[in-house]
Amino acid sequence: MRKPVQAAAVLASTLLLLSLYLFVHPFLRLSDGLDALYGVPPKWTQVDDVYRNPNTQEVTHGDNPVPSLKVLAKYWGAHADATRILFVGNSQMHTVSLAKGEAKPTGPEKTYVDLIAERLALQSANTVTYRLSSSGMSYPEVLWDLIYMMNRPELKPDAIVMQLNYQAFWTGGIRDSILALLDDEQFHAQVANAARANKPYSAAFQDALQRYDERKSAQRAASGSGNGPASTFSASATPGYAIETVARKGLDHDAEFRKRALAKDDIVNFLYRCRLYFLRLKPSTARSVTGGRLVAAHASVIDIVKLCHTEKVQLFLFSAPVNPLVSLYRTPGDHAGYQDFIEQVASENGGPLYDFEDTIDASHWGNLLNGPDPLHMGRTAHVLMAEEMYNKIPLEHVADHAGGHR
Amino acid sequence: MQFNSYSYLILLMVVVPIFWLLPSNLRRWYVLGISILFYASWSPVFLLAPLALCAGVFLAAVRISRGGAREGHWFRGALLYALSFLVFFRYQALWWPAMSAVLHGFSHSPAHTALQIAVPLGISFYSFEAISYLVDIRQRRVQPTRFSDLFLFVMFWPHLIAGPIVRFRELAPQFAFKKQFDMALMMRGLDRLILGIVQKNLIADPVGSWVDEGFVTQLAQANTTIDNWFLAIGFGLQIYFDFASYSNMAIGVAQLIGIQLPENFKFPYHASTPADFWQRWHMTLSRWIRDYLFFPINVRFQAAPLPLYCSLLGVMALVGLWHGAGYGFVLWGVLHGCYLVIYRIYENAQKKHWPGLEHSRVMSGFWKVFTLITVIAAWVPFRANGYTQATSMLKSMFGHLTFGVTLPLNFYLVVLLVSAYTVVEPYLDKLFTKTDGWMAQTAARASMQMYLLRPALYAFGLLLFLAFDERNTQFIYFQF
Repeated sequence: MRKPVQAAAVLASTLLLLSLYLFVHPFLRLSDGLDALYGVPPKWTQVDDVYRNPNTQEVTHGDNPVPSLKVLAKYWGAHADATRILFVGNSQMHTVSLAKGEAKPTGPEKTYVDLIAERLALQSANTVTYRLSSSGMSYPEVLWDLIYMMNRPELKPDAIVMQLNYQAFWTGGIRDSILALLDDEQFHAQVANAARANKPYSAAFQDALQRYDERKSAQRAASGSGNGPASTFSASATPGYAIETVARKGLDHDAEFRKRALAKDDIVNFLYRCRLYFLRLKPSTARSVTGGRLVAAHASVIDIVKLCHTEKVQLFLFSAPVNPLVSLYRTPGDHAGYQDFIEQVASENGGPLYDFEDTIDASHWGNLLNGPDPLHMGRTAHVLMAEEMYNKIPLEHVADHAGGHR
Repeated sequence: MQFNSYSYLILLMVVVPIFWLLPSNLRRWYVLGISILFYASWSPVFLLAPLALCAGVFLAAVRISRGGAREGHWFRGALLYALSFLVFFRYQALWWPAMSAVLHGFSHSPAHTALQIAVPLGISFYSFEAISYLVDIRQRRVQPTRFSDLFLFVMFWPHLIAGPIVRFRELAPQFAFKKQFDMALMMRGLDRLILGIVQKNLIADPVGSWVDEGFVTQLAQANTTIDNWFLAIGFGLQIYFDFASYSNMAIGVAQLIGIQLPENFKFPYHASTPADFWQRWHMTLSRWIRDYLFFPINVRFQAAPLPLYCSLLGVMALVGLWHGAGYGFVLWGVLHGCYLVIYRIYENAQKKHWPGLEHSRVMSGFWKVFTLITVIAAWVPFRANGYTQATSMLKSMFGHLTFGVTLPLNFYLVVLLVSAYTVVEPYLDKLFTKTDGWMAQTAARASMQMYLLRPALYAFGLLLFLAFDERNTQFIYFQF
């Protein structure tokens, strides 16, 4: 075979095999193989079909909150006199992970927040609720969202029910998907102030602002509205960037090629399984929380309390239920430290801490790939939790305190 | 246009076949044209810098090559001219405050941003190449033939932005483009290109995003000793794979059009001594420094110990400064200078007093560990956000020990995983070469290798590249 033809054959073979990889999803197959080998619970136990209502839930779970909040503004605007209660927390609030023995779902499953909302609506037609939850939500993100909502009368709640969870103190930073809130100039200015304030979470805010600016300049470059050569070098303002944009758009016309985004999830999930199965490092592996993320999380929670006081919004703090089969704390000191902190925050808030940590019995929790799920509960657990919360937190009295401060 | 971008890979699929279809006398103009377009894809204005540099240097080179009484003047003038590009663009931080103060004194208090000057990409690299060209001309190792030779040497797109730093005499003969199409070289080029894009997207960028988080000033104070060691190792891995990936892509792409660029990395974290590290890390910069700075200085002192040690420290401080006008870079260079001096002192003492230690396993093990630890520690000032952070991290790493881990668990796992890969990297390389040799022994195996196994590896590399593609990630060495 002539050499240039050989080269063409190598190239063609490479592209063909790449298409095959994109089609076959080799890492997904490997993950499935590992799951089968380690006997994980059937996929239906992680319920896909959960109850969905854009008027009462941020249905994108933090992936695209701006349209969700627009819906909320419209809905709350239509119920101007109603008492507004906002539930804030992580994926526990929007996930149903069925426990052993629980039947296959036959319709949309409701979480404890949905069930409480129903109870409150039955109690008084003049109460509206909203669930603002996202997976792995960090406290700097909660602060971010609340600053945004407090700024806008149409989104400002009368009361907030905020979940405190040891795992949430492990996470930090501001996710890309909520940067779009910075389009609001007033909010942008407030975030910029917080970023300059030298608070422990300021770095996260600063980083978020930087990513937002980069995105905006990339968008400007892509739409051809750049302002000439930048005084300092920015890759997104170059002709090369515009060419790259065209190339990507062209390639994205191909459906197989668009699957490349899934390839990363496949690989990450496969690596995650390797971590779980071979290294036995689970998300629930007990650990001590110290360092920068903890400091930033503490400062965020304290500032959330202050923000609510300044804005005269009632704040109810509750500690999230945890699977008794899983100890998230590496040492007794970790537990004590966490408990001290949340109690201190509650006392600064001037109210009790509603402690639900040991509320749900071990038999009602879901199962992860290779063990008990520390965070996500089954059907019965959600019902029990809703009952407990409804009985303990005096949400039906929020209206008495709402007092027209909006 | 980034090396790890879709448009670049598509461009290569067009540019390389056309190159081989062209008659050899047109190829140099074609490569020059592509190089100009490539550089202009960052900013057409940037083109003025290499153009002006080459024009001045070529003019001086012609005068130098003619000899005569004024040769020395032309040489020194041209050196100053080439260096002035570096100082003007690269070291604005050094001269800008003074200039600003002068202007302020004259009541011109211009807005800083209005006079800030964009730094043309690759200026540190091609300024050094221009200087090496001048020295070679002066030493009569090369002759100035055509301006286009020099311009192509500087502009040759694979090495333009971030090296390898090449000598004119290495590249110019290859620019005749007389080589026949060589499938083996083409495959080696593809190997390097794919390896490079995978190293960049799969290793350097993900590690970098965690490292960035760990170095955030407000939060870094809470880092423990373990965190700081992992961050230093993480950054060491990030910068190695970032830069090595670029070099691999540069070398690979050059091979696709039959050009052989010099190697830039040779498993640097496997270095057995501090001196060995510099024969494995950014090898073309080390070579440049050695040939054009260190040797000329030391010829004068005939390797007397004290001047040798002082020049080592000074030269390494300059290597640090080459990366930018930051104290952290200089400190990094000085630290490496110290390591080299310590090793030289030991080497001299060992030769004189303890000749038996030359083959001692204990000592060679000691120097390996010493080199690894000190090289990793030196990355701290290089990366830290200021002097305070660097000193507090180093104190925590060597003195005030605190335990526990505060960064995301995956960060530690990824650093361990990448470290493990770095340990086995040379052995994998050998295995790969051996397997290649074995596959080439029969025609059937060679065909399977060429049309199935290699493409399967390339496709797998591309899959990883696509999966971990984060648009617009920069190479660290683009800023130098």
